[in-house]
Amino acid sequence: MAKKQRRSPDAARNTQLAAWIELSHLRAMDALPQSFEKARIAFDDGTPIYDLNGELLFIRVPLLQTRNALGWADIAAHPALGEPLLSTSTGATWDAEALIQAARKAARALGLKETDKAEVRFVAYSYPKVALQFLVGRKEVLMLELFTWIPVPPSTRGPRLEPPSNFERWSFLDEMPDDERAARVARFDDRLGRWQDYFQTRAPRFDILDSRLLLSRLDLVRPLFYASRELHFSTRNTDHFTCYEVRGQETNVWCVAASVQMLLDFYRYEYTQVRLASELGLGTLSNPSGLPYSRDGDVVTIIEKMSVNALDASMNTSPSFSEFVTEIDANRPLISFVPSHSRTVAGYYQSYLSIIGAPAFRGLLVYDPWPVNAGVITRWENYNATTYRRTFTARVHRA
Amino acid sequence: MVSASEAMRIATAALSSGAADDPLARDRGHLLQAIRIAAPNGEPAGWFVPVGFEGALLGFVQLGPDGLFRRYASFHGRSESIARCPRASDWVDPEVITERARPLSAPGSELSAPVLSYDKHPDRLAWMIQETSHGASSPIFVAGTEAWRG
Repeated sequence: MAKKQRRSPDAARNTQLAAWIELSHLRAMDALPQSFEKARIAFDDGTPIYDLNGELLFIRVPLLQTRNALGWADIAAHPALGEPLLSTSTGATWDAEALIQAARKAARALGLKETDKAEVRFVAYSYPKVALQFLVGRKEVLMLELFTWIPVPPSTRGPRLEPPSNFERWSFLDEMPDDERAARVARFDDRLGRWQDYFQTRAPRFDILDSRLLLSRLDLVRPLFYASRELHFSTRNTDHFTCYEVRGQETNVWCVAASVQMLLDFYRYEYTQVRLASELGLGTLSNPSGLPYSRDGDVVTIIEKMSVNALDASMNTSPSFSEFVTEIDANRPLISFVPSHSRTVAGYYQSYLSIIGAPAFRGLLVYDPWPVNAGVITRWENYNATTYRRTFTARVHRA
Repeated sequence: MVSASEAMRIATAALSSGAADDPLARDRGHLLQAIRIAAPNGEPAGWFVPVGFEGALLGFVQLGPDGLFRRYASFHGRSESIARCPRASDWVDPEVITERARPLSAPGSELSAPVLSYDKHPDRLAWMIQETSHGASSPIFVAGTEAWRG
């Protein structure tokens, strides 16, 4: 059983602020139609929706234009959801009171005697599917699926992590693996922290969806939307120039030699590609060969050898986006192996916002030695669309 | 596989949204006709949408078969100059590409029409031309001004 999450007193306000920013951002990108401009985000009329374990999970908040309902937004109340804004629905009306009345009517029809005295609340019985739970003295007497009004059967859950069947109740919070829960909470808190820091002294009226206000502050809020960096002469971005160059591979199989050349160039070790290819055992210009998978580790050896051990190199067999970020922030290029090809990475772009239903964009600035004798600078490579096999990093050796 | 017109639409959106982050291409370049990419085994492998400017190839948007943005690659890099860029015809004109392959082909052999493909990995884009000689065929790859046997 996962630990119950305690939120700070400001958490609800901060979540509302995050929802305002993210809804205004969706409007600015036309993901929400023009009719949503200046819509009221009716936080006070929101409907709490609980997890099966009783914890508050999210709030379903009506989006209103004067008194007309435009739709609703589901806004997280629990950090384990990982994102402040969970979803939006347009063109539908959310009337919680009417739904409760409809549920009571259905319960009566099913013969529930305690229908009128039961407390009724909304629960995510199989997130994001919602039901109405009838409680008498905190004990459930009936649960009806929203809109179909079919009784949700009692739990017959097996071991945690077993996939739920199509119509089965399960707790989103209790069944989440601990490591995933921790990662989601960290992501959620990070997002809220970003908004909070910026808007602490500049709080707008955040119950009115307003893309123009958001865009008018774009220069100031841009760092809230994404993080990005590329290699400079040093870590001092403001007064040191961007510092990296592409080297085209000199044969169709020397992508590794070209990649090692780019990395060593950055550290001021200038070798010809022919020399590096020879050191890597990749033959000559007239009789070249590629580096077989079984000799990936040679890259480490050669970087250290050609820098006279001034660089400590290492190979990572399970690359991650966070590794790219960490290395670039420390002003260190990486060699990146994808299946059958090698390139170097000199920058990253990470959006903090996702269009609902799609992952947030993560991009890499790739200095690609292909095509032969040319090379390209890829700005950006979609990290979510690429398979990464190995990374190699180097850092200045410290005695 | 998305259509060519859908690929053009996605490439346009990538340039304007910044996923393809190249102000020169966005402000002064123009999209050339999207070219279908086929894997070496002939399977659909996505779209190559070139960005041209004054006869040069500034870069290209590469999409997966489902239209997923894969990357934007630039030949001019940070430079405002197009001196480093290849001629667009080197990458989009089948006649120019076939002529690049001809010196590698055996006398009397036949060359197929070029197909945009890749050498081992989709990032290693190259035109593939099948050379047929004495009943046997083998591929020749062409990428820009370079050509080699597969």
